[in-house]
Amino acid sequence: MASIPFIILDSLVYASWLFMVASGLTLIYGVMKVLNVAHGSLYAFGAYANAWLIGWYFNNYTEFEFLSFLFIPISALVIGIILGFLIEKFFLRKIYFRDEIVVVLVTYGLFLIFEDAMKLIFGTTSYLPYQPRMLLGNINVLSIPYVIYDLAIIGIAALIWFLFNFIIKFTKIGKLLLSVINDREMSSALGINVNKFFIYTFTFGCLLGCLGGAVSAPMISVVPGIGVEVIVLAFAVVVTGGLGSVTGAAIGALFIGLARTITIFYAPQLELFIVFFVMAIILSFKPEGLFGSKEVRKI
Amino acid sequence: MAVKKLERYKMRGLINKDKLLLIAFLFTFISFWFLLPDYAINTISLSFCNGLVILGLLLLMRAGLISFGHGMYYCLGGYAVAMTYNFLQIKEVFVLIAFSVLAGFIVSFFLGFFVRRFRGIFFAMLNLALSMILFGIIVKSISLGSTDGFGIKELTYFNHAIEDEKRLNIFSYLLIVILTSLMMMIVMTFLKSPSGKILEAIRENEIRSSYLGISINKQIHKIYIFSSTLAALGGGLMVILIGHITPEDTAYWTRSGEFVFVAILSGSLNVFAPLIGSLFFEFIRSYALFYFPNTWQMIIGVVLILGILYLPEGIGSIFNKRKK
Amino acid sequence: MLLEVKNLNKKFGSVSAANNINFKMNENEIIGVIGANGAGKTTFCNIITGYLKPDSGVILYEGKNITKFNVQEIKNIGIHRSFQIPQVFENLGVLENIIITELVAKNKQNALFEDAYSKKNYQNAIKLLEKFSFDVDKFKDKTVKELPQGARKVLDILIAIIGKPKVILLDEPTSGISTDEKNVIMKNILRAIKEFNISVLFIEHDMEIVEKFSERVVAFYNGEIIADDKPSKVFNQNNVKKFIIGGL
Ligand SMILES: Nc1ncnc2c1ncn2[C@@H]1O[C@H](COP(=O)(O)OP(=O)(O)O)[C@@H](O)[C@H]1O
Ligand SMILES: [Mg+2]
Repeated sequence: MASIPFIILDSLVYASWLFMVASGLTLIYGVMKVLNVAHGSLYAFGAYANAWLIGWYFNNYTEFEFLSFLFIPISALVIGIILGFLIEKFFLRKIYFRDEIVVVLVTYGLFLIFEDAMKLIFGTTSYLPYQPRMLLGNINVLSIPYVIYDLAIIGIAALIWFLFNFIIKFTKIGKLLLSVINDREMSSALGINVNKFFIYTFTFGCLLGCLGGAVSAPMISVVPGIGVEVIVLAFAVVVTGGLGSVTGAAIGALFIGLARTITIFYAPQLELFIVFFVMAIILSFKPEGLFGSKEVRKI
Repeated sequence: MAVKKLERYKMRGLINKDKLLLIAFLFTFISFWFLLPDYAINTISLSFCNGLVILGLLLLMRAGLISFGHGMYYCLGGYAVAMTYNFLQIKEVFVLIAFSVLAGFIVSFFLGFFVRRFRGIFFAMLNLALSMILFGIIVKSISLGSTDGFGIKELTYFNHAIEDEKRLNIFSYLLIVILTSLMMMIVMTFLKSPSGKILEAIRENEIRSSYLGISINKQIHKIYIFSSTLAALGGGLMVILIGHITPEDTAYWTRSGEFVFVAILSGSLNVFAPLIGSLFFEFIRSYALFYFPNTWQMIIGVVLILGILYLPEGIGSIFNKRKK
Repeated sequence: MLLEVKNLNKKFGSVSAANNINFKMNENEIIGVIGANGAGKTTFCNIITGYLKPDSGVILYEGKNITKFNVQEIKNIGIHRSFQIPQVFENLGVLENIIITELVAKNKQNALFEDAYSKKNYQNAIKLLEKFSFDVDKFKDKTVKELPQGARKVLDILIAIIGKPKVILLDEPTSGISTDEKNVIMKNILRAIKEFNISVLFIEHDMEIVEKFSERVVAFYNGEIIADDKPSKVFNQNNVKKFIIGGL
C-alpha cells in the first residue's frame, strides 16, 4: 500500500524529469514557433553519449568514480551544441517562413534520420550505465529508502526553472528575447538580430534536451526507441501547460506526474494512457493549455 | 477568349476523364493477376491496403491537416478483423471487412470530438499520441496477443472456403483491387463535390470560411471519420491478405511515419497518386529492407527533407500558406 | 431598429478598444466610420460579428439579443463583413472563390452528388463578377494571390455581398487603392449594395469619400464614439477636427 508522502515524492521526481525533457521543447516553440520533433532524438543522443562514456570509464578505470558525473554536462554540451547548431543552420533557417506543418515535417525527417544514425553509432543492444546512480546511494525519507540520484533530479529541474525566470526577468538578453517573442518583425526593425537569437535559443533548447537524456541515462536502460516516447511525453506536457510557456510546462509536468504516479500504483497498464487523459481533460477546458494565451488573429 | 475558357470548363464537367482512367486502372490491375509473378501480386496487394491509408491522409491534407498517427486506424481495422475472427468465430470475409470499417468509424467518431478542435502541429501530434496509447494498450494486453499480435486462418468468401495457405488468391486479390478502386471513386467524387471543395476553403482561410458560415470543426470531424475509416479498411484488408497482425507493424510510430512520407510525396492533387506512390514505396521497401535494413528510416528521412526543401511545387506546396 | 449596441466594453490588457459604446443602425442606412489607427473601429466590427466576445454590453439585432452568437450564427442572420486585410482563398482561382462562397450561401456545404466546379457554376460566377464591374476578362484565370491589391479588396467585398445580407460591415474597403480608383470602387460597390437593400457601415480614412458616400458619420477615438451625426456636422466638431482629421 502506497503512502501519501511516497506518492508525492515519486510524483515530484517524475514531474521534474518531465519538466527537464520538456523545457527545451517549449522554449524553442515559444521563441521560434518551431515544434522540434527531433527533440526526442536529442534526448536519446544525450542518453547514449553519456551511457557510452560511463561504460567506457568504468571498463577502464576503477578510481575517482565520482568523475563519471562529469560525463553528464560533457555529453549534453558537446552533443547539444553541435547538433543544435547544425540543425538550425542547415535545415530550419531555410524554412522559417513556411507553414508550421512544413517545419514540423522537416524536424520529423531529422528525427527519422537520427533514429537510424544512433543505431549505427551505438548499436542496438541496450546500455545500462547504472554506476553513477549507485554511487550516491540511498537516503531515508520518512523512513522509506529513496535513491539520492533521483531526488537530485528535482534540484536540476528547479535550477532550470529558476534560470529561465532569472534570465527573462533580470537580464538584458531576457528583455530582448521577450521582444523577439512578442513581435518578430518589429524587433528586427528595431535592430535586434533575430537570427542570432534563434540560433542561440535553438542550441540552448537542444542542449536541454541532451541534458535530459544524459541525466536520465543512469536511471534507465538506454535502447533504441527511447526518443519517441520522450517526444510524445514532452509534447503532452508542453501542450498541457501551454505551448511556449516554461512555467506552464512545470505546472503541466506536476499535474501529469501526480496522475501518472497514482496510476502506476493502482493500474500500471494505464500509464501512458493517463498522461494523455490528463492532457485531454485540461485541453477540453482550455484548448490553449494552462498557461497558453489564446491567440486571436488580428483581422 | 471567354468562349474558349468555357469550353474547357464544360470538358471538366461532362467528359470525366478521371473516371475513365479509374476504369482503366482497375482493369489493368485485374489483368496483372494473369501476367505477373506471385511476389509482385503480393506486393501490389499490400501496397493497395496501405494505399487506402494514404488515400485517407490525402483527404486530411485537402483540409490542410496531417496526422502522425494514422497507423492507429490501420491497426484498429486489422485488429477488428483478427478479433472478430478469433473471438466470434466469423470467417466470412465480407463480414470481417464490415467489422473493420465499423471499428474505424466508431473510434474516429468519438475521438473526432476531441481532435477536431486542433489544427496543424497539434492535430498531427495528438494523433501520434493517440496511436502510442493504442500501441501501449495492445502491448500490455495479453488477451490481445501482446507484441506477438494475432493470426487468422481459413477464410470464406461468400461461404466458399479457401484454405489457409492460399491467402493470396484470386478472391483476395480481386477484393483488394476492387474495393480500392471503389474507394478511389468515392473519394474522387467527394473531392469534386461542394463538400470536398469546402475543405480547400478551410485549408486556405479558416477565418473567411467561418465568416461564410461553414462550421469548420464539424467539417473537420467529418473528414477525420472518412479518412480514419479508409485507414481501418486498409488495415482490415491487410490482415485478410497477410493473415497476421502485430502492434509494431501497424500502430507503432514508424509505420505512421511511412504513411506520412508516402502521403506527402504523393501530394493531394490526385487520387491516383496515393496508390501509385504506395506501390512504388512497397516495391522499394521490399528491396531496401533487404539491402539497407539499418538505414531505412534514415533514407526516408533524407528523401522527405529533400523533397520538402527542394521540390518547389510538389510536396511543400500543399501547405504553402505562408506563416503570418 | 435594425442593429443596436448598448454599453459595449472590450479591453486588451490595459488598452481599452471599446469603451462604453452605444450605437444604433436603421434599415437602409449608409454609415461612414472614421477614426485614427488603433481607435477601435475594427474591434467594433469584430465584436458585432462574434469574432471577439465583449467584456460587457449587449448587441441587439431586430430586437433580438445576439451578443453570444458566434461568427457563423451572425452570418446566418444576415450580417456579413469584409476585412481590412482581405480574407480570401489565396491559392484558389478568383472564380473558385466565388463559386465556393455561392455554394455555402445556398447551404450546399454538405452536398455530395454534384460537381462543385460545374459549367453552370462557372457561368454564374462570371455573371456575378461582371455585375459588380470586376474586371472579369483580365482576372478570371488567375489565382487570388496573383491579383493586385485593389482587385483583391474588391473580391473580398464581393464575397461578403454574396448571400444577400441585411447588414454589411466594410472594413477600410478602399485602403491600399489609388485615389482615382477609390471613387469608382465605392460607387460600384454601393450601387450593387443599394440594389439588394443592404444597410452599410464602412470604415474609411479618406474624408472626401466619407463625405460623398455616407449619410451619417460615426467617429471613434480611443475606443469611444466621440461623434455620431451628419457628415457636415461631425467634420466641424472640434474634437473630431483635433483628434481625427488633424491627426491624419
Ligand atoms: N486581438 C487583439 N489583441 C490585442 N490587442 C488588440 C487586438 N485587436 C486590437 N487590439 C488593440 O486594440 C486597439 C484597437 O485596435 P483596432 O480595433 O484594430 O483599431 P482600428 O481598426 O481603429 O485601427 C489597438 O490598440 C490594438 O492594438
Ligand atoms: Mg482597423
